[in-house]
Amino acid sequence: MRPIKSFNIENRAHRVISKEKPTVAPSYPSTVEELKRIREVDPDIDVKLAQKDPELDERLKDVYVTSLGRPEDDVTKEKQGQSAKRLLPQDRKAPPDFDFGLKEPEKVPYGRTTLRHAIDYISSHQTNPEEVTAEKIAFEYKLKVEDVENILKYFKTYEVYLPATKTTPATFAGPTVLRRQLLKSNVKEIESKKEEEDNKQAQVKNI
Amino acid sequence: MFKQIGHIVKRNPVFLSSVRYKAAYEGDGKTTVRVINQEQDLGLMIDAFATYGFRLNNGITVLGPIAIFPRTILSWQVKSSKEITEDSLRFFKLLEPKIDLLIIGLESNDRSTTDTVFRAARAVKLNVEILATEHACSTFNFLNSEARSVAGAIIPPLHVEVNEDDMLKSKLHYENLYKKELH
Repeated sequence: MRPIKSFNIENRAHRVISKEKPTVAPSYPSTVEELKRIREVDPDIDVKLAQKDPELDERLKDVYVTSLGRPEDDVTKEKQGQSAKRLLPQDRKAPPDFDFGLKEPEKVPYGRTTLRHAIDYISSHQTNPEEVTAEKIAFEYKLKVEDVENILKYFKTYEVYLPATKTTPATFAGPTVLRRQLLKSNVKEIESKKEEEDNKQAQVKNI
Repeated sequence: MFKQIGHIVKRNPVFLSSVRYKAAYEGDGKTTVRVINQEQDLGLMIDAFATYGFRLNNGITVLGPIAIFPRTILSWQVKSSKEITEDSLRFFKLLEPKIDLLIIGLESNDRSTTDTVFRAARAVKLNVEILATEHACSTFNFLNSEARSVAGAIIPPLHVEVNEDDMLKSKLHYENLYKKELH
C-alpha cells in the first residue's frame, strides 16, 4: 500500500504548496447547520459582529472588581511574625563533644551507673578504702552492694608515672586525682622543662 | 581469516564496562589517606600493643588488661582470659548510656576459654564480640571512630610478632632518632 500511496508524492505536494490561496478545509456538518440557523434569525449578523457596539462598552465601564477582607500581603507578614516564636536555629555549630563520648542521662535509673560516677567512686575508694566502702557507695549511687563490690574488685583507675629522664616523657597512664595532686609538687613547670631540654641537648652534643 | 580476527581480539581486548578502571588508588594527587588514630577528636584509641600493655593515641602507655571506653580508660583487674567471669563483666552491663557492643580481646585463641567467656557474657546479657587482642584493638578503634557506643575489655597478648617497622615506630615514639649522633 505504501508505495502506491506515495506515488509521485513530490509532484503532488509541490502542486498543493504552490497554490496562491490554500483551499479552506470544509466545516463540520453540525457547524454548517448552526450557521444556517443563525443567519435565518438575524440575516446581517456578520455586519453586526464586525462593528463596534458602544452600549457594550458602556456596560464594561460599570464593571469593576473589589476585594473583601485584608490584603494577602498583610496575612503573610502576620504569619511570619507568628513563626518568630519558633525561630530557626541561629547557632549552626556542631554540638559540643561530650566528656565521655556520649551524652550522659540526667536521671540514672536505680541499679545503673554512669562512667563519670564510676570513675569518681572507684578513684575515691582507691585513695581511702577504709572510709569509702562498697556499702556507702551503693547507698549514695543507688546500686546493689554486690555490684559495687564487683566493680571495685575488677576495675581500677590508673596511677600516673612520669619518667623524668627523657625529652618526651613516656607517661604511664591515668587519673587518680589525689596522686596527681601529690605528683604536681614534684613535676617541673614548663619553663624549667625547657631549660632541662636545652641542657640535655648540650649533653648529647658533648657525647 | 577467523584466525586473524582472533589475533586482533586478543591483542586489543574490548572492555565493555568502565568499572574495570576504578580502584582504590585513583592516581597521583587524587588519593588521600586518613589515619583515624591521629585524629584527636575521634576519641581514645589503641595505637600499639605489647605483652605488658597498650599504648594509646594520646601518647600514654598503660599496663595490663584494659577496660577502654570512647574517652576513658580503666584498668581491668583480670590476669588472663580464664579469669573472665560474669562478675568481671557486670560493670559493662550496669553502665548508662548503654553499651551497644563490648569487644573482648583475648590473649589466647583456645576454644574452651573462648566458650567460657562467651557463656559469661551471655549470662550478663551483653552483646559481645570475642576476638584475638590484635583484632580487638583495631575493631575497637574503628567502631570508636564512628562514634558508636562501644567498650573494649582487652587483655594484652602473650606473644607479639614484631617487624622492623614496628621497632622503628616504637623507637621514634620514645626518642628522637634523627637528632642522635653517630658513634
